[in-house]
Amino acid sequence: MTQDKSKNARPVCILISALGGEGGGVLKDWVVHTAHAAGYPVQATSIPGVAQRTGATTYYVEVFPVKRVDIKDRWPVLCLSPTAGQVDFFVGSELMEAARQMQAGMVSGRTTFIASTSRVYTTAEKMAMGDGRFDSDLGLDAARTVAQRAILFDMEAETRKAGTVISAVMFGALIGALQDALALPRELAEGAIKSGGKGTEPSLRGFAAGYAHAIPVLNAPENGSQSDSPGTDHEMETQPDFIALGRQRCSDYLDSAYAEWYGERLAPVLARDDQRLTRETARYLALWMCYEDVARVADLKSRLERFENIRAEAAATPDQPIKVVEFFKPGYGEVADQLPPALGEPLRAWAKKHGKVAIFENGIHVESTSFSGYAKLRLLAFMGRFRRSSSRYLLEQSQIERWLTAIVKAQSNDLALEIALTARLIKGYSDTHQRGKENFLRILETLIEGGEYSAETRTAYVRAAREAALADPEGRKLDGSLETAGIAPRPIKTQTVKFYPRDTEKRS
Amino acid sequence: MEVSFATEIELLKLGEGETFRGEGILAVTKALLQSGVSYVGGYQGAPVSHLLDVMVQARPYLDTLGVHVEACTNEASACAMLAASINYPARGAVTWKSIVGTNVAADALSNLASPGVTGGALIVVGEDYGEGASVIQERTHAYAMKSSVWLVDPRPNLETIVRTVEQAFELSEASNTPVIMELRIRACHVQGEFKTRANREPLVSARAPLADPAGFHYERLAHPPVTFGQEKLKFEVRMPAARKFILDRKINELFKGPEDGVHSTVGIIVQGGLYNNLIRALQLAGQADAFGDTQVPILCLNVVYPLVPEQISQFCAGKSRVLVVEEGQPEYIEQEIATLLHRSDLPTRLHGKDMLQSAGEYSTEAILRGLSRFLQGDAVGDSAGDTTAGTALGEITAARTVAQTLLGTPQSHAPGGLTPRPPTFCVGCPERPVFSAMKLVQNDMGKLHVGADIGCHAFGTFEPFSQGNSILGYGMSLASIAGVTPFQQRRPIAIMGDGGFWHNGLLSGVSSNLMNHGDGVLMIMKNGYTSATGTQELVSSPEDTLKLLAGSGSSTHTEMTIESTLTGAGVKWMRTVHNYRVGDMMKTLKEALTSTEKGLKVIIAEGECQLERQRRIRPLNAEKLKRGERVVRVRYGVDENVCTGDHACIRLSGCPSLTIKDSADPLKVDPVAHVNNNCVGCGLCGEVSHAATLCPSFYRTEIVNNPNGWDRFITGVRQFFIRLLAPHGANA
Repeated sequence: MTQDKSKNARPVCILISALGGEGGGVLKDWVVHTAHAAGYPVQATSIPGVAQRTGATTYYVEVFPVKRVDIKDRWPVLCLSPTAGQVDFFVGSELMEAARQMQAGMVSGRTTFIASTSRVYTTAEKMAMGDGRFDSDLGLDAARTVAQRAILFDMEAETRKAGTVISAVMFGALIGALQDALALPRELAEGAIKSGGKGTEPSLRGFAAGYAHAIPVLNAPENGSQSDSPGTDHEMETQPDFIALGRQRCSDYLDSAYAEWYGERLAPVLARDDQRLTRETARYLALWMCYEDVARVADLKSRLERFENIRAEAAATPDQPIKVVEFFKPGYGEVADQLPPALGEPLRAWAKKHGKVAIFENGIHVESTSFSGYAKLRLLAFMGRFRRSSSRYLLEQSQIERWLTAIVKAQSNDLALEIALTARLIKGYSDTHQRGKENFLRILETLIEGGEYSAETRTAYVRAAREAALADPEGRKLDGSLETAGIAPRPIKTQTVKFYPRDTEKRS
Repeated sequence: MEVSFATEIELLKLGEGETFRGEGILAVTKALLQSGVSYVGGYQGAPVSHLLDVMVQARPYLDTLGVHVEACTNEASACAMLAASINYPARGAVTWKSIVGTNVAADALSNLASPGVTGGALIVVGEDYGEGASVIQERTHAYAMKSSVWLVDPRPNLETIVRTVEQAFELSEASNTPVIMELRIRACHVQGEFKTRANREPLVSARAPLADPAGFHYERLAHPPVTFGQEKLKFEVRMPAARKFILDRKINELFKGPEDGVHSTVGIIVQGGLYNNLIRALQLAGQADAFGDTQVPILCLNVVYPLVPEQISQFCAGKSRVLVVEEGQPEYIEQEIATLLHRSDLPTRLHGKDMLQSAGEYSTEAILRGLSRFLQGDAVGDSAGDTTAGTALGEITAARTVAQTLLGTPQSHAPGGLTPRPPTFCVGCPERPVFSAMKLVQNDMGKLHVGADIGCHAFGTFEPFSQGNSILGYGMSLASIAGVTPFQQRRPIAIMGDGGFWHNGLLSGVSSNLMNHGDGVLMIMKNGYTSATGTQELVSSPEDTLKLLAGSGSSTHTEMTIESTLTGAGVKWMRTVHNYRVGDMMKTLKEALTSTEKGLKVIIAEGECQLERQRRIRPLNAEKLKRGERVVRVRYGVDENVCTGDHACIRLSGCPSLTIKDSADPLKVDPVAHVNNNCVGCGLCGEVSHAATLCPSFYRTEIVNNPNGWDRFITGVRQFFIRLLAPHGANA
């Protein structure tokens, strides 16, 4: 190409988005190496900083599409940062970060958008009390709408299959997609990987997988693999028979009579003839009836298939022995739960009076893969058979009755559903459980059993209160939500404030 | 530091006429050697850490040249090092992160600038401004002006950067003034190439020592009465000399554009560092080609202070309007040019911050927006240019608008929308458990005032911990609560890393507190390194022998420099707690907060930086595995069917490897907790579930690689008996 033509050439702008520790820097070096080896002027920059500590970061590469031999001693002015609307190729290792770049305008009608459908959740998503995850479909839909071509596939799965790091898969996909714009022979790209020296074989496998996803050009099928993208709505999937599951759960939890009772309790709800209501009530009734007590936990932890699962998760080979240690911190409360009220209540009172919570201050470790540890778990699990006389059992059943009655008596099916869903607040152990239960009971007492509201208002209030309770572990949002329904906030819990001695005389 | 820079060091050795291909900051390092520096110093911090890190590891090679390298304990000590160039013809360079480092170095900088230098003195600062920056957004420019030292801001390509380094030393010597080179983040990390020259042996060095020290010259001291004369010297002798040098050597570049072009009666004056963004903006406006040939005349200032008045007026003469593209606030260059134009009676209209955004990074888009207004206002008029700029801006806006319609804006926090992803503690970081303990203690005792500091522990200000009421600088946390302590009913607590402790905390915080009989609690994170900047060594970093002894354990508990220093200074109440023992940490914290004992209470939270530890352990374990030796791998897990999906554990940890996944149980709606395979088995999960009485879902797995005979035997026996006890026919 003559210099005159090259004067108007536009650099190929490549934006890479990755998380710290994913090898984004190596990927950037590979791209530079490949473009340079192919004879193109290339420039890359990054903003690593503290982002290398697991935050999100980007790398930016510009390749001038006219080879060095054709422009002699002139070097194009290449830019150091991406500009919205001007990025030609985007590759991202994580869906939400890819979406963030779209949000910043980096993806446009000129962009080939390559992103993994896999997710690495942010702390904000993970710490939510319910499900605070980003809706992946939002990101996937946006990609298909905004980009010129969207190449979406589960890079994480390809990475695992190849036994490599995600940057190798990203590199393959990028080089594959770049074939439209630049002459970058595959061998040069593989040469860049080889010149690095470390983990070459797995990286080449990862590269090949990525390349295969990106290379088809004509009406490339979008390899969205929706099924393994997280955050899909449960309702969209085929619904399992929750009632059967619930029966099974109850039978496993206690005995067949308990399962029968589950069915009987559900019958009046079935009479309301509302599929969603039935399903959700069946769900939460099963979970609640099979509340987690010491015996249940010990039982679940001592099943043989559990050890197989643990082995699989830890990627232990059959010849590698494993040792499993459990963390328990039994409190007086939990012991009292297991005892009949006549014994349990005095124990609870005694513990409260003496400010005692945990029996063993530092908790106990039980090695469930040792004989004695396993025997302890089985003994605890066995105690579950006598649950029916325990104080916890009696309490839970009476509360379940209140909840069920409210569902059955609800003014409308919508309200009944909201009441059923409120049981989602009851989860966790010890303090977390207690807080959840308190919130639940508060909604039950004030908005469900109490007050004079129309069915519609009540439904809206109950839903709002549930969402508020799920939004804030400290319950302030729930108070706020209840206040809008005209219910006074709870008195502030007394907290022992410890004052430290002050040096007053010195200041006088 | 366990990271090796062997490849980088090879690049430093390149000889005459070879091609260097690598990052900007490494090119600067090479340029220093090509300039014949006698000594190099600095304090680490992004984006310039690399300069010093590579130099420190390259010591054996640098010894052969006679170049001395010093990893200083803060920027003040680095800047003071340049005193060597006051009396001797020794070239020296120091580096740090700006603005923060320059703030710390300011005292030494003034005292260096006043007497001036004989040997060339260069300060390479990483201008940590704009996207990716981690410090307050201020300009180094102010320091150059108030201390009258020269500031170079080269075009961000390796050739110009390297040439400017070499010229900076000459400029420094020609005008007896230290020179600062500001490099923005992306310029430090830009990858490119340049033709190298041979490294020069310094004039004065350990290999070419002087027979005698310099004679006594009172005028080389920053001490009255000569300071008055020095001030005059700066402006009557040194600055004119510098301006002459800048003109003679054509350090600032003029890109004239066509003589009779549409825009030949306007012009742009730009900081060198922004040149590439400006050219891209011009390209998008159809006013420049791929090689930077521009239709609009440009004066590119590779030296942004001092300006050369005749160069400016010459450029402006005959131009109706000039746009100054100057990033950040205040617009010092624009103001000075305004004064110049006014004094020289030139009718040129001056534009800058009136057309460009007032604060924030000058990205291509930001420049294009200003440029589009500037070109529109052109009296000559060029509708084609305006339209092209407008089209480009339209494209930019459209891309963003469409995406934001679908995804929401960064400010809208709708459920199911995007959430921010700030950096956080590494997997297994020993500092995370301290914040878990603090959160738990506050659940019991009520909220505390927390003085935060600079370092990895500043991540404790992010979710899920959200701890910290103020950050006042590196090592300043204890000093920052001195005024708060007297009016708090509960004792405030200051968090400080060992990096901050040695950088400033011991002097500004501890000694001041002790002298004033202060109260309060100081939590020192003793992880052994300045980890946030890349695990550089401290005076209290564990020696190699200690690390060897520690093997896969933490090597910091045997290193007692901080403890003995504090004892020596007079700290009476001091406890050392291993970070991962959350229960012990809670107890100690409560004790410190409620103790009747007066005076400063110091808790040393000890646990080696996991990043550094893993870098040491991984090769060790890999070697053992290769040799067929027994290696136990530890990781944690969550029992999916025990977990109820309340995520209370995550709210006390935030570990990247403690994540969530869809529950396999169709009855459960919410995702359950899950430990992924990045887990390094630090043990925090177990400790937190114990300390917080959380839930019994967590378990620890120890996987035995290359099991020995006993392992196999005992496993067999155990499995036999376990099978006997196991429930039969139970369905999970």
